[in-house]
Amino acid sequence: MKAPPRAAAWLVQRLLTPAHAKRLLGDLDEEYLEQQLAARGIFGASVWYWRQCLTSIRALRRRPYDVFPRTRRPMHGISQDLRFAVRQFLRSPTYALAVILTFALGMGATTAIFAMVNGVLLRPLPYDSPERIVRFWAHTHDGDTTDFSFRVLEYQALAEVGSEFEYVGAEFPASAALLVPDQEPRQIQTRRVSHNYFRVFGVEPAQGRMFDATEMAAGDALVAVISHALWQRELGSDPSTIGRTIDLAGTPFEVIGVLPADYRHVSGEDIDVFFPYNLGTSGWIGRWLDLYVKVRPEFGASMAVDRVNATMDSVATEDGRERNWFATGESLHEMKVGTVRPALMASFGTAVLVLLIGCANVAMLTLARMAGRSSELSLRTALGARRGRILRQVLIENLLTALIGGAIGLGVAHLLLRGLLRIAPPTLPRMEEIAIDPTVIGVAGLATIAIATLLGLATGYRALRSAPGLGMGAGNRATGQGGSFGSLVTVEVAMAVTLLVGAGLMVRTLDRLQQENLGFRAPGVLSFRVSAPSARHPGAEGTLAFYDQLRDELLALQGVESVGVGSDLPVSGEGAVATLRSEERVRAGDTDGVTSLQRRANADFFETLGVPLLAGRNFGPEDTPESAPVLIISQSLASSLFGAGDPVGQRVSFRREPQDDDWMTVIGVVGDVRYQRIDQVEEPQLYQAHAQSAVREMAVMVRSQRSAEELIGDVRHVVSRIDSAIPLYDVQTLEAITDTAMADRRFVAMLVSAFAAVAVALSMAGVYGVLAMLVGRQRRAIALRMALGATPEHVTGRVVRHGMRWVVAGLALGLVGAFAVTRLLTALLYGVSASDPATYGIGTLLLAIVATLAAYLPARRAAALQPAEALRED
Amino acid sequence: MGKTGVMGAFEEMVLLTLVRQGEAAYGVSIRRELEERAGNSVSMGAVYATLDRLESKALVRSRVGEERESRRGRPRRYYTVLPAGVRELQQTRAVRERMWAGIELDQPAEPS
Repeated sequence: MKAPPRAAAWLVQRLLTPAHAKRLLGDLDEEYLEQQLAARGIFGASVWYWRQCLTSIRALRRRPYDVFPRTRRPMHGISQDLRFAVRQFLRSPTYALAVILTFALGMGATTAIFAMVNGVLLRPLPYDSPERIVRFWAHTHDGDTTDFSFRVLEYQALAEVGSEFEYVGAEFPASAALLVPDQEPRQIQTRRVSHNYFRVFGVEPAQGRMFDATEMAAGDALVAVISHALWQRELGSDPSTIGRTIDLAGTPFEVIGVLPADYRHVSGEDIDVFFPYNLGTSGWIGRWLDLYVKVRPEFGASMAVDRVNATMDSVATEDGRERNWFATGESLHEMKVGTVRPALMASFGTAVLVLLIGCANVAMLTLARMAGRSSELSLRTALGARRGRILRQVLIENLLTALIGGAIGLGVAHLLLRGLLRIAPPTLPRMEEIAIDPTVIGVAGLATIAIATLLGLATGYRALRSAPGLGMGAGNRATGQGGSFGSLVTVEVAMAVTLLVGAGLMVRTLDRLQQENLGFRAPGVLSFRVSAPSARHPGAEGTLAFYDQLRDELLALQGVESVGVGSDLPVSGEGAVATLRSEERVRAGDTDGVTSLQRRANADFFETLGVPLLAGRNFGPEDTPESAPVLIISQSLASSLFGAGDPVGQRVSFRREPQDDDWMTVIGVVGDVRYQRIDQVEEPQLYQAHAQSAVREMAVMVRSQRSAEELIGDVRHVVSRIDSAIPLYDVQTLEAITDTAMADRRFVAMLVSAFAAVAVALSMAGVYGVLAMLVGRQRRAIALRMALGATPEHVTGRVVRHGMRWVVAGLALGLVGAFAVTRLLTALLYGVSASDPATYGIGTLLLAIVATLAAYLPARRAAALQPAEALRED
Repeated sequence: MGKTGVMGAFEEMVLLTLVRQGEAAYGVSIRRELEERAGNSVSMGAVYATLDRLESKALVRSRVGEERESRRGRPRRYYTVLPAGVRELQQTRAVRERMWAGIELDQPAEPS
């Protein structure tokens, strides 16, 4: 026997009432099997069966009492629905206001953070074909993770080879005092760049021209390309700037070009002057050149890396050096924003969670309101309104509130973003590109519509199911027990506990970082940088004399305790690197050495910073340019180089094959200082005596009991008395420096904490609101129970337990969620594991306590019920 | 039935089929007869929609009939015309005949 098509029968059963389907399918099956199969064959009979089913569905689906004619225009009645929605809201403005406000805050917060994500992470960089620009780093093969730059010879070889490369650009950072007649000297950031540097980024001069290859090769061309800002500020937007000279620390440079106003240096810093790089230094082995390459479109990044590696090897071979180096490439985008991605994504994720909790609250409000409107819905259905039409009505109401809320949310986002940018870490790249632009508005608008549609469909469908007289479900039971409300509360609590744990982890991280011994005492130290120009302070003697005088005069200031001079400030992330080898190991044939941060310091540097001298002696007056070179090393370098042995008196060298003159003697061991990053623990460090290796540009640190604001005026006065053409720059306290080093974490911690607080408040409003609604709805049942002898304690306990069932489920779910979500934070955490049991425990406990309170309030109201009165109500 | 005293064409056809088939009229037989006489394919659903309407107007009544293997637990439902249904048919026919009186459509008038 050939059965009739099952899918068609299923459709009939799905779409028609059981009574209709039963009669229809009985007849169709009979006719199909007994007549049509024989008459038409299996195929023809199946077609006949399908046709019968489909036409019958059409004929029978129409409701017998459909008094309103069915329209085929889907938009029909939209304006009627809209007017109806507005009337509904005017009738219950509290509901509308609550929903609109929730949307406005949720969308506002999320939009503000999304604007940051968009500006920093998503928008393309403001260069020509930024995806083809690759930044290269050099690394040694000895497993050291430091990023190094490139040698001049390597740059030259790459610039010549270049089949994979459209342009190869190199730059070397510097700074100089800009001297403009009748103006205060100002320290400006400069770059020495290769002639193709700007071509890599596709930047054309707004006026004049860029350097050419001959100017670069000559090495002594005193020409400069200046920034638009410098042209405006110091040169007064002079239209005939080209050909004028600017004075940098006493040396005149001819201005040959002005950069466009919208040019931003790739570092994000304000770089005011660019000079051609001096190739006369090509024999140097130093790795100073930052390499940027524009790869040809047809070549991938990995081919480019291979090419750079091959070039480094061949340069090393020609030069008779070991092939100890390899290169890695990083897209410009990654280089600029890679470090802040975790912080931004964590912030964004947090905002989305808060938005979701807000949506859950809106869903609960809407469901509660729909339950209150169930008689209206039933009436409309009885009058012939179809389910689709009612669903549409709910959808339009949701869209209306969501769009109003979303529009207000844009305003909220605007305000919030202003505040966020004020507290944003100064290290945040592309800050000037963050804005609520059309992309952000578009995404926010689409998200609003999507959320409102989903919410509207879900709540509308739910409400239709539970409204009586619609033949769609088992009446009102679900809302009576708080079924869907309960799951919403559970989800809310879960998200809130996730955020709470995230916030806890971030706060503990900040706490750990603040408690952490960074190797120096920051409070009470003011630091600044100066550079002693060679014109007026010639040679090493001139430099040293300048710094000695500066130190003596600063010490003479009231309240100043000590004055340290060093090449680098702690946690500033800058500075030179050198490989140090011990005599013992070199003699044993081991020339690998230990890569260390290379610092220069005067004798008072350690005391001023509060770095302890652990062994040996400090630098002293006996260490002069003429005396034997000495070195102070940090504890971690001492243990890497000498193990448990005594380092003091040992000889060390920078060279692989040291001559007699190359040896330096270790005279002391000091504590480790965190120089590179605040969370990097082990960094071997070596200090050379500034007296033996003078450097013109140094950081000066003044420890004093006076406040920085008071002191700075005196300090400026001292410096200008010694040399009025020397600007102070990077003036800041060490505390400000450590603060900045923690700024990204503090930003995330603040955001996550604020969002967690909002999330807890919203979810507790959910717990409270749902329980209060249920208590209100079950007044008679509760009153009956009390009349039959239930004590108030019994009633309270019952209500609280009812609410806590959802909360406990939420807590359990939230712990699992937190375990998964806090992985996002791993890159930001310090001194605390992403699955730290204490934080999870405290977060859960905290939420459980608050939730009990939130459940207790409606429970108390239930217990305070007067049974006699409640039972007399209708 | 509206003010005109004439029922809908499909209702009339279904009622006539019931009269013709007597006690033995049920879904399959009604549908097939309609299809054969009207020369058009007829939907079972349309038949039932009309039968429901007629039943709600108390013009026909139905009873549950016997079980058959091919129907798999869904017994036949037989329909019979009630006296009110017969009266409606007569009234409809009377109105129609009055309307048609004197009209000859199959031989259009020749131009004179």
